[in-house]
Amino acid sequence: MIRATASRRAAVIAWGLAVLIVLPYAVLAFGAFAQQWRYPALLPAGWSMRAWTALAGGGALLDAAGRSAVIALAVSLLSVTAALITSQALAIARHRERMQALALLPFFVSPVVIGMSLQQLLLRSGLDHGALGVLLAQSFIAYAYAVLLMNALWSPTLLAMGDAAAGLGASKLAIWREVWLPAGAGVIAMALFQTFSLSWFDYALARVIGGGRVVTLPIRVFEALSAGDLRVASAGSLLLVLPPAVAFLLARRLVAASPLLKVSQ
Amino acid sequence: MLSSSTDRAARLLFGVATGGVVLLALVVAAAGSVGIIGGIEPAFTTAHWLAVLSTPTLWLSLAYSALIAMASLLPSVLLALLIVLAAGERLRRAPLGALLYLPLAFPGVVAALVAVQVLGGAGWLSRIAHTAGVLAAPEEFPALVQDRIGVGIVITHMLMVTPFFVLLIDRLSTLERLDALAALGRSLGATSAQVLWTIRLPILLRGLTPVCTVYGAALLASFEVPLLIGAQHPAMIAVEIDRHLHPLDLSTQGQGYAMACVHVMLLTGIWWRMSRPAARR
Amino acid sequence: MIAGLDVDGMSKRFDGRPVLDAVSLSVPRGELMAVLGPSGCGKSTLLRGIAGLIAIDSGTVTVAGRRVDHLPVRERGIVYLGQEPLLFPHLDVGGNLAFGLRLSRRPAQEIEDRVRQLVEELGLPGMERRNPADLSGGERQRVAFGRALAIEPAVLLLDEPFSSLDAMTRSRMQGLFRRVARRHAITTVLVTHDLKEALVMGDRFGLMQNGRLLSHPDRAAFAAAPGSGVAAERAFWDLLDTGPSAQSGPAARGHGDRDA
Repeated sequence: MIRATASRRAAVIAWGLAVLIVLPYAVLAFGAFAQQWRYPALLPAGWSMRAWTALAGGGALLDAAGRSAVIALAVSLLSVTAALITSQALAIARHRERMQALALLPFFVSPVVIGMSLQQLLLRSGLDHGALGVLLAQSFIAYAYAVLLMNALWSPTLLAMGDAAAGLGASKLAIWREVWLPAGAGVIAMALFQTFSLSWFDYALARVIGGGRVVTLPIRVFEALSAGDLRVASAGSLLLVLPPAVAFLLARRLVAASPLLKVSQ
Repeated sequence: MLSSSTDRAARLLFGVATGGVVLLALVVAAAGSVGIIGGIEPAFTTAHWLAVLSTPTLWLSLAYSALIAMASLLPSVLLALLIVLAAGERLRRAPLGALLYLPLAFPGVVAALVAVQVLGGAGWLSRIAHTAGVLAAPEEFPALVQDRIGVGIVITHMLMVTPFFVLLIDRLSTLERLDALAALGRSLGATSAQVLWTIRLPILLRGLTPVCTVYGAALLASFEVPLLIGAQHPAMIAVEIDRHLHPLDLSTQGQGYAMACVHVMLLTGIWWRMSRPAARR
Repeated sequence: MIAGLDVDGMSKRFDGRPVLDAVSLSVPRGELMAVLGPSGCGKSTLLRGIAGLIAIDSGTVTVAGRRVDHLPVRERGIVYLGQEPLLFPHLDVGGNLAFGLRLSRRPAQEIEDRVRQLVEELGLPGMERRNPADLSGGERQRVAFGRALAIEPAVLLLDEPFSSLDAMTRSRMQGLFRRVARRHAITTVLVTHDLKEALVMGDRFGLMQNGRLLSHPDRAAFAAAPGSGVAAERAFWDLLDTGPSAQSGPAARGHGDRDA
């Protein structure tokens, strides 16, 4: 009897959570497609595809999304490559824990402040206020994040596999190419995805460094929301959250199938 | 694996890209706060510090930020704990097993937009309340967005943070083999309550504390959400700094730098305290 | 004596504490030296130092008459096999066996022939396409061994490679490793804390204690050494023959303790 109640309670909680998680997407969809939704009607009087046609017509939203995607792609490639190399060097360092703790530090300081100081640096080095500046600033944060993710990759097992390969005649480059990259592919793919998201979703750094000149998708959504244009803000938000969500659900299978995870289980 | 000179160079790069960036923030903020950079005509002055330290704006903002961070974090962790304890392995089954990851891909800007549409005066909740006959007009709906207490910010934060902690607590339970340890405890004569208080919670808390510190710091410096759905006064610290750094006239910029300076020092201090015991372990 | 492996005066300190204290050893080509010692005596450090996986403070390593201690791991011609058979998880059994050969860019046909031969020799037929995760402990250890054999190393270092296997598999593996290493004339150093394993596999012997190594050229000399534990082992088996009335030896004492 007690068991039956507990399992029913678990089911109610699980479904309640599922609804709570899906609800925001529904809210955005309503916001984007509703037409003439007067207070206090529970449902809109009609539906409009205007937001969608605005998107398809290559409007400002799509333009911003393209810019965001290019920046995010560059940020993820740059930060993950750098993080791969440095996290391996950290994993074999003497004071590895103390050094790895440093990767957390940038997350303790507001991006507004980090952005402000990097902007000063970029200004003085002549790289101010462009997409490049935004890219560089986001890369610093993404890099620290990728190092945090990669710390889990460098298990004693993976390092020992490098040693085993060296014993079989592999150079450092060959160890990377033949062992570490393929064996860590799942974690690396995850890091690429997460650093891409970090840049794709970033508002603060793009605002402080871009200074309004680099209109990324979050900036565009923010502007629309500030101007009270809920329809464009909602459509832009859908464009912002749906692609990573779909990609994530697909990638989850890939990560679960990662050979390294299988062996360590 | 032996360290090579490339490894040492890589570690140096790491130090510069993490600690160096924060140090740069401190140096720039300090320089700006004494007037060496920024402003109309750079010149050394202590006026900005005097202004910041003598008015309550910074302290109010810091206290408010800490309060909002706590009010967002603690209920989220507690809620997540209850959810994991009550729902158990059900969390890992479809569809929830996959869905739980989705809120991780929900940026502040979008969360704020959803909050406006759900919690706002003419939002979903207000419409439902009206239909149910509780409200006569949208004005009667309590201010949950841009309210002074920050209820909207807290609710939005909670919606973003809770799923993360559900995932984390569930993962920790598996990693620490909590079910096996709980069974062991019961075989040694512990009651369900004793298992919870002497086995599950202490073990979980040990794993959760560092993550909570990092999340608390991130919430303390929350930017987009309070910028969009927070009140003008008091403002959270990142909003307050931003407002001072990018004013219409440059006269308050130095104060923004001074605030940034205090912010960096305070949070670096928290980071230092958190990472020291980890280094000793 | 054909030069196999010579280690001379190898020392290593960790945080000021000596782990290897001027260790010297010499193994002729194709022979197996079994080094016996308790946990933490420096056995693994010795092997890792020889392989170049850790930096040593002083000493030389010579393989087939050639100094190798200044060379990087991959150029020493030494393969180290640890307790865990570290197979590459992204490669199947065949891929693991062929790993070293592919690195040196041998012709595809040669690699294929060699892999087939190894699979045969190690008793792994039909397993070329299997994933390492699907193998048993003994099978994994055989693949790791075969992966080393494929590149025909001059020296093989075995760091308690059978300790995680069950008793039956362990004794089969000991026989197989010994046979194959001898057939390929590979100079081998095995470290273990298992006296029987040392006796079964070794041609010559070493006793390691507190970072120092005492070498014995043959089984008789080793058995006579006071620290080898052979005398205690012999007493145990004597006890089994004569029964507990003998009232002496370690087993009898252990029994008395349990009753008390």
